[in-house]
Amino acid sequence: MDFSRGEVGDVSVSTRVKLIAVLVVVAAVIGLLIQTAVTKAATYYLTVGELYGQGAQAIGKEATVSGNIVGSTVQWDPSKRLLQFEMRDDAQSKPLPVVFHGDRPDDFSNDWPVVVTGKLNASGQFEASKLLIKCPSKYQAKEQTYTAAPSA
Amino acid sequence: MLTGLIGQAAIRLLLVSVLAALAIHTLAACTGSRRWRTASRLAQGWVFLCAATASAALIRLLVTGDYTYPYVASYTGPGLPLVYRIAAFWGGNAGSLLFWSLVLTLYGAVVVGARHEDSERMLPIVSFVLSCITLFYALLLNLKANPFVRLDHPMPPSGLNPLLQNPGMTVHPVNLYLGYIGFAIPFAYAVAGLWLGRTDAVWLKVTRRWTLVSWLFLSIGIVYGAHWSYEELGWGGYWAWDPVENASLLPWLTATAFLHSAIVQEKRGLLKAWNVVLVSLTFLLTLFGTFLTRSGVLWSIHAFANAPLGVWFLSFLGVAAAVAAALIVWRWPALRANGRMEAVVSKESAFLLNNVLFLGSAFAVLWGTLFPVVSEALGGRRMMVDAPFYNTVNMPLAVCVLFLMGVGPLVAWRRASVQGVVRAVAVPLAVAALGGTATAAALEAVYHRWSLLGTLAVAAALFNLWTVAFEFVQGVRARMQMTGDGAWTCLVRLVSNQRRRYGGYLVHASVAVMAVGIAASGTCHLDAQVQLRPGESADIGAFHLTFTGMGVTPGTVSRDMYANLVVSSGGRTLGVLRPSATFYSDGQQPTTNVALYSRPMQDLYAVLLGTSPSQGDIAIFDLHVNPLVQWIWFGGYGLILGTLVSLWPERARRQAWSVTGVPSALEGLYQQMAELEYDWKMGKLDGDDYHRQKRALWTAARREEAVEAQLRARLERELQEAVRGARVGEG
Repeated sequence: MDFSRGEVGDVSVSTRVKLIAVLVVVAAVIGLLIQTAVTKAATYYLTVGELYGQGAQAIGKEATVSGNIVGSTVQWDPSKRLLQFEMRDDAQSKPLPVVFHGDRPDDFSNDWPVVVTGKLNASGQFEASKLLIKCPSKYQAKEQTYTAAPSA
Repeated sequence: MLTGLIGQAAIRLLLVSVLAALAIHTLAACTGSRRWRTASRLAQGWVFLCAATASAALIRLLVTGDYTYPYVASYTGPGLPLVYRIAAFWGGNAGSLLFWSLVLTLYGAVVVGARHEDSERMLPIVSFVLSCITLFYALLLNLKANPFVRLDHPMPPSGLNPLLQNPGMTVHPVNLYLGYIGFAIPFAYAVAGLWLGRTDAVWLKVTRRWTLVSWLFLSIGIVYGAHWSYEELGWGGYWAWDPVENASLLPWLTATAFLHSAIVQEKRGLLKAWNVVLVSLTFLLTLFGTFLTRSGVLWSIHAFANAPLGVWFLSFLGVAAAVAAALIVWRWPALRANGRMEAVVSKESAFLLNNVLFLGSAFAVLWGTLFPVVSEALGGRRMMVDAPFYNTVNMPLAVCVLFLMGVGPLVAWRRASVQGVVRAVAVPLAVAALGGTATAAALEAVYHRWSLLGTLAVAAALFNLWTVAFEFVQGVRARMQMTGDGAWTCLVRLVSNQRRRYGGYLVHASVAVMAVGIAASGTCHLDAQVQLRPGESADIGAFHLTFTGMGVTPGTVSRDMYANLVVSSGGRTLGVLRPSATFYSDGQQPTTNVALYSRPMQDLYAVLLGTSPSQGDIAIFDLHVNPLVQWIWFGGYGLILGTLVSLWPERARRQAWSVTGVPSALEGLYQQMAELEYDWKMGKLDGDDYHRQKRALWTAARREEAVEAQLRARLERELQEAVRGARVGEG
């Protein structure tokens, strides 16, 4: 079935080059898009220990911190939509106090993994703008994202 | 007790049987004897029986609630409805691995029933590959995650997570699994095709069909999962770009790319190697997705390679990737194209561009999902990306794909003139641009939100709908002229004679409808958090809500606390919304239940966040208005319908045009001619191109006819000689 090579085969080489050029350009644009988006949207992803390890440097820098909820510290004031709790890496490590202006997730109990995005303020509190929790034992349960309420 | 023992025995037997089956398939493939091939088929059925017995045993344990089994105690509890007891089968890690084996062996037992050219040679190899995958899961079940582990004493039951107690959770995981696991079969065929050195039309036909089946299940699973997330999780959205969602999207993107590039191989004999790569990649991505959900690699980043299942999946992924790569390299010469790209502007190149866009999107999703791991490996600092990243990259790509979807059908095969394409596209594109702008303006007037990308997406979607309508109208009109039948008859005949083409167009239209829903709800989403005392009101969008008070539905296992919100719009009372929170007597965390007023044009979505009795019965609500969300679900149904039309078997009469069910070189040329006539009739080609291509195809067909005639003559001569020889011998 190589009849294409007879009559029109002579143009095929340049067609191929042109086509590859087009595809390469498209791929490059997509790459650039990814690169730009990554630079704009990436945040540091740390554990509580690593955040503390950065010392004063960490203050005011956008970061995403993961840890486990300390159940006894959870305070939720629905009228202010204010959720306060502490999180830590494991039972021994130093806990990080977190304030989150937003909703309390359905599954918010002791020792469950939580990921918060926000900034550490000068008083040592982590002001979260986003909170993510996941049910640890039933992996199908999707994690839920909570966005901070616009500060009134 | 007995049930548990049977289950335990069944998964042990499953492991032994798979090992035996591997030996049988090997013998069947090497000896080629009919006996061993039959044995190979039976082995696939037997392995399925083992998995089915184990599954039945586990379901029985879950239904009867035997809490001496930790698996039963972890995922069920007293008072759990029967349907969720059954759903607990795939609700946990060990059970879902058994479910995985069940589905895989079921597919394995079904696939050996296939009859196609060369199926006798291919099926033992296909079965071998599927058995290798089953072996992996059987090993996991026996060594790492056995659901039949039993304790001496009952464990306190902890119940199924309330969030999973939703009808959607019985449908969504099953569909996802059916889709995910189904991609193993195209991969198995790819390996068989490469091994036998034939990745030709037979391979393509079977592979495309199985990919489409899996793709359908995966699509249903994804859309249903989004729907579940929207109705159950109460955050007002349907897609959060979390790693698990991404894991389901990745193979979907590559499979979609394959479904398109397969057409190029079928019609033009190009992209053979590329198709094998796509099929393998899709399968590898399903393994990768499973790895993500089981290993905890992205959740707690420290668990990388610590989680036992993670290492297993990663090793298996590595082995599968290495085997696929080695086979492709080994058979590279056989994967050479039969023809060439003739022009830059052609349907082939539109398909190529489609593939680049889909793979680009898949790469972006993969890159984002793995970014924590990648950035640590590259720069030492762990970084992550979330929804804004995925949206920034994927939305423009999606808009490009949508435009391409509209242009593609209007472009002719082989060589299309730029002017021709511009001419065909100009009017619909102008109309679509106007329609898009008008829609955006209308949305802006109501919701005061606007985005360029959203407008472009709506315009592209309208352009698509136009293209699809155009294809249908032109096709029906041409048929009416030819046959003189009525429009309705012609439409039915048109679709039933070219199911794949028109089923595909239906899918395109459905995707366009979904795109409108996604663009509108993404751009014009309104939300507000309000605190109301009884008697107070709030406004959101065009809705006026009055809080009239709280109520409680009593229950033994759980009770619901609900708020009454009277909804009105434009002075007309629409009804009462009752967002609620469920409290569980066993001390589980309370869950919220979304109240939804859902109409085709917009959804009003209300969540009860909490109450504050100390401050005078204040209730706090999260309110969302999402325009056109229902269009996404409508589009989902259309997508199912269109795929089913594509999949519906063609009548035997139509398959009979070739003895083998697969076109010979000459039949392939006749098909290309029919395609050319179609393009010409639909106005996709100008006169010069049409006549030139027709001439080229005729010349090639004559050449091929001459070759066939020669062959036939030789065959007849040799037959006659043989017959004469036999007569002489008899005499």
